[in-house]
Amino acid sequence: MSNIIEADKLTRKYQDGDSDVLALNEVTLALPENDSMVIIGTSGSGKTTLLQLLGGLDYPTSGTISVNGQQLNAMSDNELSEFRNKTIGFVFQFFHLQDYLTAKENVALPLLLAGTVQQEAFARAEKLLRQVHMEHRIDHTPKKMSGGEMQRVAIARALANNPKIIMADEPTGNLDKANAENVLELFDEIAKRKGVSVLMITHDESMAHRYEHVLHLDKGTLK
Amino acid sequence: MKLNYINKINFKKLRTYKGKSMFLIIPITFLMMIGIVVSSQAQNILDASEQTIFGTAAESSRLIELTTEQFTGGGDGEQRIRMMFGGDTEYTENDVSVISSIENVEAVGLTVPVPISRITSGDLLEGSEVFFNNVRALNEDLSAQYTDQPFTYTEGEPIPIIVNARSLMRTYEDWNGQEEITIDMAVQRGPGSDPEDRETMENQMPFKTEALQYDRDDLLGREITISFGGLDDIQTYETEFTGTGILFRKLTDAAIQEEEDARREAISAYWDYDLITQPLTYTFKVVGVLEGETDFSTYIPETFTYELMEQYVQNQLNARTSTEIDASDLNSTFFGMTYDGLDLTSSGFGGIGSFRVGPGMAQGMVGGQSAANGDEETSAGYTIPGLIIETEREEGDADAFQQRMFGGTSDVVGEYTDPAVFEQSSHSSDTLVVRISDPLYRSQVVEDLNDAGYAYQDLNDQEVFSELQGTMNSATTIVTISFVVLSAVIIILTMGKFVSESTKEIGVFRAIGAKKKDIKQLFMSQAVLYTLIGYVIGGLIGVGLVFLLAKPVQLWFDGFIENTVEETFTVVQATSAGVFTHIDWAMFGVYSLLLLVIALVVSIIPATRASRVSPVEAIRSE
Repeated sequence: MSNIIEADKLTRKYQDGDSDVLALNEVTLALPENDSMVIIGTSGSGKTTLLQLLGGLDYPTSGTISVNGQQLNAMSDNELSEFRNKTIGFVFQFFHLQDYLTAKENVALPLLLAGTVQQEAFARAEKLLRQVHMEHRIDHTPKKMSGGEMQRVAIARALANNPKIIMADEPTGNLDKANAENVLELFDEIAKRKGVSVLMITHDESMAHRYEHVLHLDKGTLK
Repeated sequence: MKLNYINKINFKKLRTYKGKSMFLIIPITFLMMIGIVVSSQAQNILDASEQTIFGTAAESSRLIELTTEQFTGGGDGEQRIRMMFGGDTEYTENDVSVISSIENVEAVGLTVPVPISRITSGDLLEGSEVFFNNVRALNEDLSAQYTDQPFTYTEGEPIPIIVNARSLMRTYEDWNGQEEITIDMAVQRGPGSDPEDRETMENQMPFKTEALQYDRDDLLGREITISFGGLDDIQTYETEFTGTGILFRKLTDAAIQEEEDARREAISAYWDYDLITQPLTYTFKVVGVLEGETDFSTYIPETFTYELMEQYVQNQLNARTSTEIDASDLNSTFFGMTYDGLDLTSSGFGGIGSFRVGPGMAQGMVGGQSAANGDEETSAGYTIPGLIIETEREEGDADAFQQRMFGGTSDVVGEYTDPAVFEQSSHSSDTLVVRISDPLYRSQVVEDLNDAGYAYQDLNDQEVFSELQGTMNSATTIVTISFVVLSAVIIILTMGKFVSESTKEIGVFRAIGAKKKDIKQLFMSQAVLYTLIGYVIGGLIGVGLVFLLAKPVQLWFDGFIENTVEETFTVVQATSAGVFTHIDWAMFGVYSLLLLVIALVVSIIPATRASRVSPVEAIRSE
C-alpha cells in the first residue's frame, strides 16, 4: 500500500524582523492511501504551517513533500494552483464561503476554475449539495444559513473536483457540539464512501480516537 | 476561469456590496458627468460666440463707423449745442471720395437719413404703434457693422431692416385731470440748467414718452409691415406763450373735428384727399436689433430707399389736382421736403401736424418765413407727404440745423416734380461707414483717416473674444487632464482598497485552485465593470444636464456678451437656447475611450497586487 502523503524533514522558517522563527523543524510523516489522520497541537505548535505545506499553499524552507505521487517542491505557482484545485479539498474553520454567491455557485467555483462548463458545474454542485443534505439551500446565499449548514456547503465545495484528500483546518472550531458531531460524521461517511483521505488539524485532544493516525505537534516538532 | 463567469461574479459582488462599489462608481459618474457638461458647454459657448460675434467680429473689424459726434466729446451741454447748431459737421459725398482714396479702403458709404416724416409700424409690437424717427439708408456692402444677416433688397421679397430698439417708444398724453397746463420756463432755460429742473419740467409736460417692452429674440426674424407717409394725427391741444412759459390747452372733440375738416378742405383744394392720406406700405423682415448707447438709427437697404423715395414722391404727384398752388403757400401752409437743386431736406414739422402760432411764438421763436405772417392770430400748416418744394440755393447756405428745422431758408421757387429727386440730390449724413479690405490694415487706415483730418479713435478690440476662446479651450483642456488624472487615481485608490479588504477572499480563491491570472482578471474585470457603470450613469446624467443647463448657460452667455462685447460692437446676433443643448459627441467619444483605456491600464496595478496575495491567507492562524 502506497502513501498518499510523504513528507521528509520539513522545515519552515519565517523572517520576523531580524530574527528567524522556526515554525516547523524537520517534520517527517507519511499517510497511507485511504487512511485519515489528525494532527493535534496547541496554537503556535506549527500545525497550521504544516497544513499549508502539505496542502501546497506554501513552499518549505527545506525538506520534501510528495502528495499523491507529486513532488510539491518542484512545482511552479500555476502547477500548485492546479494541484490544489484537483487533488485537495480544503475545509476551513470559518467556512470561507463567498457571501455574494449562492450555495450552488460556491460549490461550483472549483469546477469553474478548472474550466468546467457552467451547466455541468452547476449540475455537479447540486448533486454534491444533495449528498451533504443541503438540497433545501441550493439557491440560498450563506447569510441565511447556520454555521453547520455553511460547513456542509464548504465540504461539498471541497469535494467538487473529486479530490484525493480533504484537508480540514479546525472544521468544528466554530460549531456547537451537535453540529460538530454531524460534520465529523459527514467526514467519516465521505472517507468511507468515496475513498478520500481526511487530514485534519485541531487543538482538540478528543478527536484523537476517531482517526487511524494521530500526530502531536509541539513547538514545530512531532512528539 | 471563463471571462464571462468572472464578470458574473463581479456583478453578483456589486449587487451584494452596493455601498462599497459606489466608492468607485460615484466618482466616475461625477467625472463623466462633469466631462460631458463642461466639454459640451465649452464647445457650445465657442459655437455660440462663433455664431453671434466671431463671424460678425471678423467682418466688423473691417468696418469703421465715423460719426460727427466724435468731434464733440466733452460734456452733455456741449453735445447738445453740437446737435442743435451742428453747422457743417455732416459728412458729404466729398468726404466719401476723400476717404475712398485712402489705401486699403474698399468701400465708403454715408448713412443718409430717409426724409420721410411719418414712418410707422402697427405690428412690430403688439398693441402699440411704433414711430420710427430716424430711418437711414445703409449700403448693403457696409451692413456687417449692424447685422450678420444678408441686407440685400430683392423686389418681391420682405425687405431687411435693422430696427433700433431706441425707437421702440410710446408717446402718450397725460393731462393729470386738467384742461390746461402751464410750464414755467423762466428757471429752466438753456443747456446749462440743472438736470433736476429739466426733469421736473419734463414731468409737468402733458406729453410723455415711455420705452416699450420688447423681446429681442422675438423681434429677430419677424416680418412686419411699415407705412411711409400719410397725414399726421390732428393735434389735440393748442399752445400759448405766457411770457414766462408755455400754456398747453386741451382741445375739445368739436374743436379737433373742426381742425380736421379745415385740413381736409385746405388739402382737398390741391390734392385728392383719399390718395394723399394713403401711406405706402411694405413688408420688412427684422434682421437686426440695435440696442447701442450711441446709435439711434434704424437702417433699411440703400437700393430700396431710392425706390421708396421715388414712390413716395410719385404718390403725391398722382394725388395732385390740376389747381396750381401759390408759391407763397408753400412752406407756409403746405410743408414738405425742400430741394435747392443740390440738397434735399425733410420738413421740419414731422410729427407735429397742424401748426398753430400765437403772436408771441411767431416773433420769439420762428422768425424768417413765419414772421411774414406774424400779424395773423393763428396760421395752420400741413405737412404733405411726398411734396417737394423747390427753393433757391444761396452760396454758403448749408446750416444743417436750420435746414432740418425749417426745411430751408431760401425763397420758394415752386413745386418740384421729378420723382427721382432723392437719387439726384447730394447726400449728407452725420455718420459714414468705411470698409477696409482686410482687418490687417485697420491701424494703417485709422492712421490715414486721422491724417486726413477725421478724428477717429479706434475702440474696436477683439481681446474679449480671444480671451473667451482661450478660457473655453483651457476649461476643456483642464477638465480633460483632470479627467484622466482623477479617474486613474480614483481607480487605483478604490481598487487598491478593494484588494486590501479582499485578502482573505483572494486566499480562499487561490486555495481552491485560482491561478494568479484568474485573480488578476477578477479584479481588472471589477475595475472595468464599475467604471463602465459610472460611465453610463455619468454619461446619461451629463447629457441630461447639458439640456437642463442650456437656458442658464444661454442667460450667462447673453449677459457676458452684453457686459463685454456689445459696448464695442453694435451688432450681436442673439443666441437661442438650442445652441446650448448640443452634446459634444467628439469629446464624449474621447472620454469614453480614455476611460476604457485608463480603467484597463490602471487596474493592472491593483490587480497585480491582488494576484500576489499568497494562498496561505486562506488558513492563516487567526
